[in-house]
Amino acid sequence: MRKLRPYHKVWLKRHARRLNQRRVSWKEWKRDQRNGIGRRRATIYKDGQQKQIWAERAIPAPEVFSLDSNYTETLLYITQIRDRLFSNNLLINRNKRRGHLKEYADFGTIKDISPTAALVLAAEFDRYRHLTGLKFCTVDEHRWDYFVLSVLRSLGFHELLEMKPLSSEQFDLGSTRVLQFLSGEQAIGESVGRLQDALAELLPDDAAQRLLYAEPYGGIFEAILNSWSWAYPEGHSWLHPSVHRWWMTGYVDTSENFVTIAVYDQGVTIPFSLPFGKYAERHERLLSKVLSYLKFTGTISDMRLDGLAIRTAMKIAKTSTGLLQHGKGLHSMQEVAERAEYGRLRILSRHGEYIWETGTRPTSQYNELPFHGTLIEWQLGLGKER
Amino acid sequence: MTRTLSIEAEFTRYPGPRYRKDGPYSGEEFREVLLEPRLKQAIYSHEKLEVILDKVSGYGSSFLEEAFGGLVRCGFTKKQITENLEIVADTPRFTHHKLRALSYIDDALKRK
Repeated sequence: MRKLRPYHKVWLKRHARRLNQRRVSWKEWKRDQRNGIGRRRATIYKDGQQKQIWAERAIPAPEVFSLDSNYTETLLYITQIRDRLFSNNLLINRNKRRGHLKEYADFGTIKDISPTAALVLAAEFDRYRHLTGLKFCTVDEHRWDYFVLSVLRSLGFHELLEMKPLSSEQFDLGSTRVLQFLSGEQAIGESVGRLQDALAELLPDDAAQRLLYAEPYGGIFEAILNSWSWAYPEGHSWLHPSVHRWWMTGYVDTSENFVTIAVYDQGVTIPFSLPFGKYAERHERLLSKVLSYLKFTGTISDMRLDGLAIRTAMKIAKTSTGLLQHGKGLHSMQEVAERAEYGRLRILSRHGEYIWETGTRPTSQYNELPFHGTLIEWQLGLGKER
Repeated sequence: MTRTLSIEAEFTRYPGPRYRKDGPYSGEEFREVLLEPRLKQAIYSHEKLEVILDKVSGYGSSFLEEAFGGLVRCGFTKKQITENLEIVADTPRFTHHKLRALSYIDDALKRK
């Protein structure tokens, strides 16, 4: 047998080690592929250019991204994204030669999206942007559903995420028009006025007049004022870093003259901030009466009563005078829906949900999955052109 | 003789919150800067002050309450308000704001 020279021995050892490493990597890759967490090439848009990177684990969004028709899955997804945002796993790791993403939000799985749910998701990315100044990359944008992409771009996701620049003419939502979201801290009437004017411009004159008659300005204004005044109390300990802001958008179905407006904040929620001041006694008294009627054995601070607490607060706001601002504001929100030809007000806050709809009795319910913050949504049917 | 004060022309198209600390163009600012001095002038000269609500984007209830209910809290009497102040809404859209502003004055008078 031929005697190996020392340098040959070293080479063979290294070669064997390399082969073994490749074999182990290959087995790991196959295993990950089988489990659906395999590393794969993905396309991102970063610093003005399209790039290829390695992406490990997708966080797939639900097919129907809506807080109306798919509440639980949509909320779970938003919660998941919120938790991941602050883990930094969604950021590109530049230490690797070719950029590397441990995890990424996969919007390619969404087939239908409601702009209201998209607003809540946008608020998460916007909060992160305000806190860190960083933007996340979208992955494989070319695979997204065209309608979903158009809704997200119209809403303003291109300002929150690194997305391929496109002009607004390059997407078409049919008869739906989605306005870019607005955000702020203080209660500023000009923002609300701009949103209301933009919605009215999308409607025929007759419907625009009916929209203005419903006076969304007053309701939206009270919603953002509540956010500024009550949603972010000083000294509150937050689960995630807080930016003390509100977000709002509106969209119009021009074929039906149907307008939807959504206002969202990530604050302590209505059931948490109720009751207070003089209002507290009346609220507690009324709620206790309802509870004894229902033979409920828990206390009034029980989170299972969140829906009922919002409903009681709405009732007091409607029938009482001399309330603090918070009380009056809640009723102003409902008045918008009441003044429209068809109106629906939906409030989601912590575990509570309250709905007022034209022609039906107000309803409230307990949702097992808590909503982070408060979402107020108006749907206004303004009738067809006469 | 009648004096007029148009909120849209002389104050803002976008009325704001109740207090100055909550945001721009508040009810408190409107009352202190425009409404109170003009109402005082009107009372002094035995005239009527017409406050025109129309042409703005809308009102939050807090703005109206602080602007008009606040008049009572800062010392104007029922007689002065009924004789020297008129709230005007020329279009149906603003009629309910007028009624609301009047009810805020009534509420404030009852609580006084």
